[in-house]
Amino acid sequence: MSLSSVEPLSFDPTYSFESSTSRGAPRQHSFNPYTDNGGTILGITGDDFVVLAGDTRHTSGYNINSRTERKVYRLGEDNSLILATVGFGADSKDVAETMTRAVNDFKFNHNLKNMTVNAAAQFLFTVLYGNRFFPKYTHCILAGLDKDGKGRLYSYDSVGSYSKEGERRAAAGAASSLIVPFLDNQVEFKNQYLPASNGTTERPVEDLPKETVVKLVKDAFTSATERHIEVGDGLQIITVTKDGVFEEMVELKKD
Amino acid sequence: MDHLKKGEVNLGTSIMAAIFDGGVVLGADSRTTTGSYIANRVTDKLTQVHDTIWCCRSGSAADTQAIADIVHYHLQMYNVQNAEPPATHIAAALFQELCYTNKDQLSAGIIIAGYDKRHGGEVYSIPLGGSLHKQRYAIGGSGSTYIYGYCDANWKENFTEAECVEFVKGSLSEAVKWDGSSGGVIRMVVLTDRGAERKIFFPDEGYKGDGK
Amino acid sequence: MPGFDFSNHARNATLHARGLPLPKATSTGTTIVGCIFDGGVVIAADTRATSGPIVADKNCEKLHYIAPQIWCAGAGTAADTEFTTALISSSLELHSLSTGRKPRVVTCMTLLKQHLFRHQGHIGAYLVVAGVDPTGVHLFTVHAHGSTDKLPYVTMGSGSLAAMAIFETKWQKNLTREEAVALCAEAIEAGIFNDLGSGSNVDVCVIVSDKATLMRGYITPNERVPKEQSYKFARGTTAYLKEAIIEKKDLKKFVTIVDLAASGGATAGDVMEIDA
Repeated sequence: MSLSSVEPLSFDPTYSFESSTSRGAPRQHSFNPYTDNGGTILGITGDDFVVLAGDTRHTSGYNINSRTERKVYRLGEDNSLILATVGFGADSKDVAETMTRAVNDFKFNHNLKNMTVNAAAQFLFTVLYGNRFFPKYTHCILAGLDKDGKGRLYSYDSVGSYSKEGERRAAAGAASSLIVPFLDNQVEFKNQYLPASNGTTERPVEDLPKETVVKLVKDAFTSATERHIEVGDGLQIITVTKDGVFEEMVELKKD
Repeated sequence: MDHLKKGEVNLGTSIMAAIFDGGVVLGADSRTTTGSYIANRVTDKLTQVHDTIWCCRSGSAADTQAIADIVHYHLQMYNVQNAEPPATHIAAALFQELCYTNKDQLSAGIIIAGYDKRHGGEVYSIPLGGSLHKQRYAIGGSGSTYIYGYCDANWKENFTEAECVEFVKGSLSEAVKWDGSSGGVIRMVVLTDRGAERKIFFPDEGYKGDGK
Repeated sequence: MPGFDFSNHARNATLHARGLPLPKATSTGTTIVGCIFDGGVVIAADTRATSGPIVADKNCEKLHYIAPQIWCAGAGTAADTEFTTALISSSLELHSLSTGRKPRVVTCMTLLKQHLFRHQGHIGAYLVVAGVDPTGVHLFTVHAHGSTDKLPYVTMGSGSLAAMAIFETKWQKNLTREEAVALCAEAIEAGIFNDLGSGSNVDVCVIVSDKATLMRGYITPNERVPKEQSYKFARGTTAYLKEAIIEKKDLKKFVTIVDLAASGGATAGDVMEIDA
């Protein structure tokens, strides 16, 4: 004897081939090639130096894939170029590798002359815009010293838009909305007036010393770690000066 | 399962019940899942609604627990008001009433099995729509699809108690083997004029233990 | 029973259909666990509350009082766990008063499951119910749709897999009180460090036949490091449009002043007896 109805087999897909759930309606199957792997990057320039930093947590959803994944890359070993990328981890790494290779090729095609930071910046634009209709899901911050030894910082959106003048500070990634207002206030001195001026004269912007910048970077990241779940584990700070490129690793909270 | 509410606890489930001369045997696996996670690996899907009337639950855990609780209440009232225990078909009718009138809100597949002096062992099945079927044996849940052939080939009229236990155990161990959303231990309840007796069989003994 | 107000339902449905996103409820991402030991039961929770990827509260309380010897750990929508436990605590107290008996854990569990089932999963409360009553030691889980489980060790919330991994490798029968507390704390820590929805501290509550002990901040493995520098602004940094100086004697013209010391004592009501 058989039953007139039996419940169908339970089936719960957890991978990323999404399908609509309404019964009877036509289903459209799709594959999502992007994932947001969390993390945050941040860059600040001074007069003759530039600092780029990023946390080392790599996530998907509520899971931690890695606590030691670095987001700031040196584009070669004897130049001042550094690149930080955040967003979809695989695309971020691909962009960094493309840039490293391009900087290296340039050197050997141009009589061992290093690519300038503004040339690298323009090249990164072409790389990102080259993928205009299948974008690299990544936000980049490129930094280095120009030929006068001044710190330069360029910030990009995922299809390559950037400002040729560069910027004083930039932040991107999961906690950028937490860090940008802090940087506005502490680097650009936004909403600060000269105490004696009775709220009439804005505090003039000035280049910060390297020690202060590193302190700001650390405070920005320890604070972002407190309030954003995708930020934490470790902090990688790379400083570029005329004396070379220096890396510092700092522990962040792991919860 | 399309009809399950999002995040709902599901009894992936292999359940069955079969009559023999002098009683009835209920059996079930013990796996409860939320998506791919096993929320409970030692679930008791065999639920008592009266002394010797029990049910096997499949579908939504919340729905079937709520239904069983309501039927349990009504059978207690029946017993008190009529000064005699309810027969199995009374329980089955109560289950059907709830499952049929609320069919658009429920995902419950229930097998009711009971023993009473007048009718002996009886098995009733209520699948998704709320229809009621009196059967000599019934299988249910996602794992049951794998054992239609096995049960058809191995079931015999006039089983002894021991034969019936072996039949249920053999069927469920096959269901558990092939169905990913069934697993854990195999629980059984035997209902006779002696009352209700529980048995349990463990996977690390290949479900071949003595039922403890 | 609560009277939910549905008067805004039609309006909100219309707004939602026109593309207005629904307001985000604070969810307790959460790891909560419970474990029975010889003579009692222990429940534990992390203390992070989230709103999307943002930490809404770094040290919230997820262990709720139900009755003197019944406590509850809550995961899911913060407001739902808070209100549902308070509601059931209230009806259980009234039930206890009218029967003249101590409240039972099964009664509490049944009230919760019937309340949650009635609301068909719309009340997003996922609970671990634990307690000791005259019938013995009990531990249950209650899901938002109204299903319940009875087990010797349980976990719930987004960190439940990390926590269950600890229980499934280290749990054994006949634990002592100290072993059970340590095991639960370790399970919560697994959630805190491996699940992004959980974080900060470990709260523990131990219930034995004669008393319940709440240990708030039993472990604090995530203290904030001091900042590198001070962010105190020089006086006058912030611009203002208008200045008015109100002297203390004129304060009553602008605000109502209530002296707390005079009406003191009555503010807190009946203080719950909890051993620190």
